Amino acid sequence: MYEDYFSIDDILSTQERIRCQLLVDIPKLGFLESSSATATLNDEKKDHADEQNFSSLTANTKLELPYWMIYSICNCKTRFASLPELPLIYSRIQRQIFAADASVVDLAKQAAHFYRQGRHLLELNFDEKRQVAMTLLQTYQQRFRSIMDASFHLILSSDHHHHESMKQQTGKFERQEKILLMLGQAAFRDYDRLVNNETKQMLPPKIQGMTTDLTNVLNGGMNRKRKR
Amino acid sequence: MDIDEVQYLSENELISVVPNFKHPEINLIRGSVGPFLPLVPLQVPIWMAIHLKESHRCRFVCPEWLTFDSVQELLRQEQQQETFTPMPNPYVFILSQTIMNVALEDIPNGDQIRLLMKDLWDLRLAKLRSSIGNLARSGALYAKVTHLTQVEICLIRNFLKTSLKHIAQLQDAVPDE
Repeated sequence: MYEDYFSIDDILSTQERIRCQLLVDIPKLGFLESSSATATLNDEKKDHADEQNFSSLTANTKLELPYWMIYSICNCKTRFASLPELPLIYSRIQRQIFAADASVVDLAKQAAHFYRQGRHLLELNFDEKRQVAMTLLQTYQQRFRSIMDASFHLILSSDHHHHESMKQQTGKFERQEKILLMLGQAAFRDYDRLVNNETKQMLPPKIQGMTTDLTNVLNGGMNRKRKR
Repeated sequence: MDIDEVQYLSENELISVVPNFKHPEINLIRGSVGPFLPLVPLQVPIWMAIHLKESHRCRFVCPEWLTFDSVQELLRQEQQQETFTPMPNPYVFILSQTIMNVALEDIPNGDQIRLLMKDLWDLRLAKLRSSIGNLARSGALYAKVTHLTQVEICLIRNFLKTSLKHIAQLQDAVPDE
């Protein structure tokens, strides 16, 4: 399920907070109830600190916890919590919007890790699992055409009209789609180099440190030392 | 394989040239290139032909698939069929560019052939795009495509690989009931 421990995409997509509902009483964690983003105690409340720390969370409280925590407590044998509702982007209303026309939804703003987070969510147990999964798949298939069209046209920085309309369109792509876009464009940039006879130039090698896969894809096409 | 490698490999194809010097047989690792006699055409690999041409020692003979008529015929066939037509050479697009960069004067109607080649390229690319679009939309497991040149394969390889991986992952996540 997870790619690897240091994968930035995984880290970002699993730290989103999701509402869950506790099924049992949990002692000593009462302070979690009042916090949603920060868990720091004020100076005024320090007197009550001892009491607060040792109060317990009753069952049926709703909490917002990050996904990686929920994965551990919702799936183990003794289930501490269940998932009453999904994050907004996967709800029934949104799913209907996706079914109508998926390519107009601005995923970059609403859920920059839509697909990855969806896949993580599908590891948990909840109703409507199949509908969410089908929505993910169909949304990807619908948006694929516009990704392909955008990536097979090279975006030249000198051409401003084209640039603006392209930017508007690609601004709606979320992270996974953007990666795909850059792969397609890198391939076309390579072909352009061939047409312009740049492949036979000798270039000095570029000194790179540790780079991610994405920059390797982009840089692989640009600087090559050729010996003839 | 990237574009650079494909270009490198494409230069191994044979082409006819007419040398203007005399030289006995040259023995290379891949085979030997026959004795060079002035005004006698012989087959050499393209990299050697380019080298000779740039040092003004030979003249190119236009290969059969690069004449105006045959390219026009190719274009016509491509326009008629919905699937891809077989190309005379797996490296047509790269070689036509390379040859025309070096020896434009040896090819009759060079500019027109260049335009025709561009039309052919655009046509095939459009077919590629629509077939990839159909593949993604239908969610099929595989698609069979024949008669693609190496350059085109290079272009779409990374893109297609990653997008099909995404689709496969999303399909796996659908629970069976």
